[in-house]
Amino acid sequence: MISYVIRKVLFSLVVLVFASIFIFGLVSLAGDPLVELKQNPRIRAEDIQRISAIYGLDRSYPEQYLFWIKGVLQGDLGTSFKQNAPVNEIIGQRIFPTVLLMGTSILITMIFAIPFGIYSAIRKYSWLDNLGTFFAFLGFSMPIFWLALILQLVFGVYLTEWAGTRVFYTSGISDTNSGGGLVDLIKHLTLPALSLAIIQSAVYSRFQRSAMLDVLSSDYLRTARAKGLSRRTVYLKHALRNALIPTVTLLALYMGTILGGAIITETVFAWPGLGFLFADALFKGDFNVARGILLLIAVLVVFFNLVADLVYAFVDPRISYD
Amino acid sequence: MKRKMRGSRLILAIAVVLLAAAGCGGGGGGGQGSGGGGQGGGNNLVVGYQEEPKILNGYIVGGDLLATADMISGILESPLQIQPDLSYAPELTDGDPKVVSEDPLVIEYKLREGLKWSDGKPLTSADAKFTYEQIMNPDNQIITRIGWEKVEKFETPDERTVRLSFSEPYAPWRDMLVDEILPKHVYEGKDFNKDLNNEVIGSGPFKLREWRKGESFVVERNENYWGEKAPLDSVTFRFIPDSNSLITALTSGEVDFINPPPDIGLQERLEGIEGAKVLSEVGTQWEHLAFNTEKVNNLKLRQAIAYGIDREQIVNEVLKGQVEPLQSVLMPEQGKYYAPAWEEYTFDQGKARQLVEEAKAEGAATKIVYTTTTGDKLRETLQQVVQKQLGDIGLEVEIRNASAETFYGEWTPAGDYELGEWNWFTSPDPQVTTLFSANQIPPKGQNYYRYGNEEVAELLERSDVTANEEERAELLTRAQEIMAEDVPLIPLYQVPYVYAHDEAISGPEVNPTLAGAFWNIGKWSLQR
Repeated sequence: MISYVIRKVLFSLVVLVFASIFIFGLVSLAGDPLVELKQNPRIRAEDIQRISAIYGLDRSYPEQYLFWIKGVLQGDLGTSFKQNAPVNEIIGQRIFPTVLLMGTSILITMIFAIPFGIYSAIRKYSWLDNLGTFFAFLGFSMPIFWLALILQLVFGVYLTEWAGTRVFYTSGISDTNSGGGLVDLIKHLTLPALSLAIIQSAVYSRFQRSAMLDVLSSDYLRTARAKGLSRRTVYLKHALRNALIPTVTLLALYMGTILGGAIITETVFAWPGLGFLFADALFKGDFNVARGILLLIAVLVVFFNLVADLVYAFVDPRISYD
Repeated sequence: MKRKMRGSRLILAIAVVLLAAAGCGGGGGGGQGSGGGGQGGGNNLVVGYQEEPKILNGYIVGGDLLATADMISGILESPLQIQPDLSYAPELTDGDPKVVSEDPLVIEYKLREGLKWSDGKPLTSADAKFTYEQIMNPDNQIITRIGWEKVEKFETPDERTVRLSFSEPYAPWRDMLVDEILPKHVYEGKDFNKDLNNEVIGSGPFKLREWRKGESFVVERNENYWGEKAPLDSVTFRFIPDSNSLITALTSGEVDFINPPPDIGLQERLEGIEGAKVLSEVGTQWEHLAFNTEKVNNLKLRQAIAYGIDREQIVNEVLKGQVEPLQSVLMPEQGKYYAPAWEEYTFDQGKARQLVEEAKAEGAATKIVYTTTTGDKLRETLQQVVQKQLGDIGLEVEIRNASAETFYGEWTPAGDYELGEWNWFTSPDPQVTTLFSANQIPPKGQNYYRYGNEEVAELLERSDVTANEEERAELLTRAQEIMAEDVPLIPLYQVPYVYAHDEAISGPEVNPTLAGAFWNIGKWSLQR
């Protein structure tokens, strides 16, 4: 068991080392942080050289990487090129909005998609199941930026007009002039959380449906029914708990990416989270910020994978430790 | 009230502009009035702003975005301010600066009487000198010291007088005086690279209340303002990066003012918003077709292209007649410096075809690669029109585009293109030496045309050290005429600026220079 754990942990570390090289390289290749300066007719070549030196861009990539990774190992993600402030701090400010948005959307998804998936499985091919299938495929194929625009239009513009007062906001996290508060937050949070939840629900309800169908066709359930247990007991006590395992696993793995935020949704709704920050940093050439966020996601994904692996090995006797 | 950064430090946010504009034409038609105006209510204005600044210090690296200039527009002030007609008007100075001597160049200006910082302390010539010392301090990560490094002596004979003595004549000196003045008593002894990044104290009609990162930037009225106090209680800049969301926010009444980047059909879309007023004006950012004259080295071929392109049609097609074709590398608004030298290239397919034949006889290729940045609908539409027009005169055009990073960062500096398209931002001062002088071919300057005409180089360089405006205009006119004959580029149009705002606001006036949309925000008011 111990050697299994050690092996898994070491393997995770190797993955992270490669991930860090990959992240560093990809972001470096994403462009030139000084591109805007180079377009400015009043910035001379010597100014560009001087600024390159300030950023350390005049050094070779391996040198830059070693400098960066040395800081990272000490918990310092470096300094933002553009803000001249610690990346840790910049990223830290954006974690709460992202967790709030992603958490809310997952919560809505779970409340909605799991019961629906289970119902669909039990009443397979009923009209409600067919309707669910229809909407699930609609959700799969709908680009989120489009859905977001439609929600903005319907609930941000038309509803406000119809109601004569503002119900939902189409952008931002708070109304700076009216003091904020929980109601204000909900008015801002609803539309971005809803657009994420609608898309996620399509995935999770399908996933839950097939997991439930698997369990329903298993031998032990037939046995349970043959014993004369009520449908209710069979479904809720025996089937449901087993059918939830794959969903919970999926969710656990998904946790890692939650912190990364939702780039498109956050951008469209001007939600001040990590996804918004990432897009902005990448396009503006604020490379250390972009790298920091990617590395954070990598660490979390690897960590949750590791946890899942270990927990599996612990609970499932079919997985060998050796 | 102010124009924040000076041309030299301002950086184009073009890459960002390119990203704007997802598809989907939603948004039009919705009424705005029902929301009861912006979320601010009362006398609080809400601006939907596309880009968040990184820092507030416009002098140092990172402060080079237009966003920084716009945020501090109502907070900091400078001796001169650029007006919508590209002239320089006194802001902190009492009357126009005086040219005490042309050679050696000595400039003197007097500060207005009774100037105050927002904390009530007086603003004096010592503050101007302190600012100059920050610019020249080698430890500070200043973006560029252009102009300032030619200042030999910076004297302050009394509390209100500033005198600059230059080591050599320097014609664009007014550009230096739109650099904002910083308060010595606040920043003396502080770290210039860090301590102005998140907060700023100025002398303008507004002062900073709060900057919520990723969210908003709020300024409130400066009750200590030395001039007429601002009618607005506060202005909130809300950061909304997506162009569609920005327009939706105005439509739904969440914001009161937006100035989205140019896009096909933008103006019509904004005009469809009920209760909104749309302002539009061409600016000092100009789009053009560029030749790499080392690769497209046949003059007749370049002239053929200039005659074979119907710029009138291009502009109508792409910008629906909002703008006129541009006829030079300077803007008509630059007055006596502007020479419409490209006017001779009226659309003439017969002449163009004949020139193509002659060029062919001289061994020129009739296939040309046309390059610009990807993802810009305006440019991509324009490319198709040009491709068709050049096809009509017997030239084959191959389109090969690259991302803004690759295009500006690698292809143009390396001369890795034949026919290119991009734009430049000009400051009101007509200095274009770094773009067209034969001594400014990369890596030294930005002569991406690799245009080697020595006579033009000499004229331009002389114009930079000619303080007399009439003489300078003559030199520049001659340079423009020679360039039009050589055709290292074909000017297309000045990029239009479009603002849309709630009808209840009065005061916005398009300032198409680097002074930006909020140059006069101290005079804006709301009636609702």
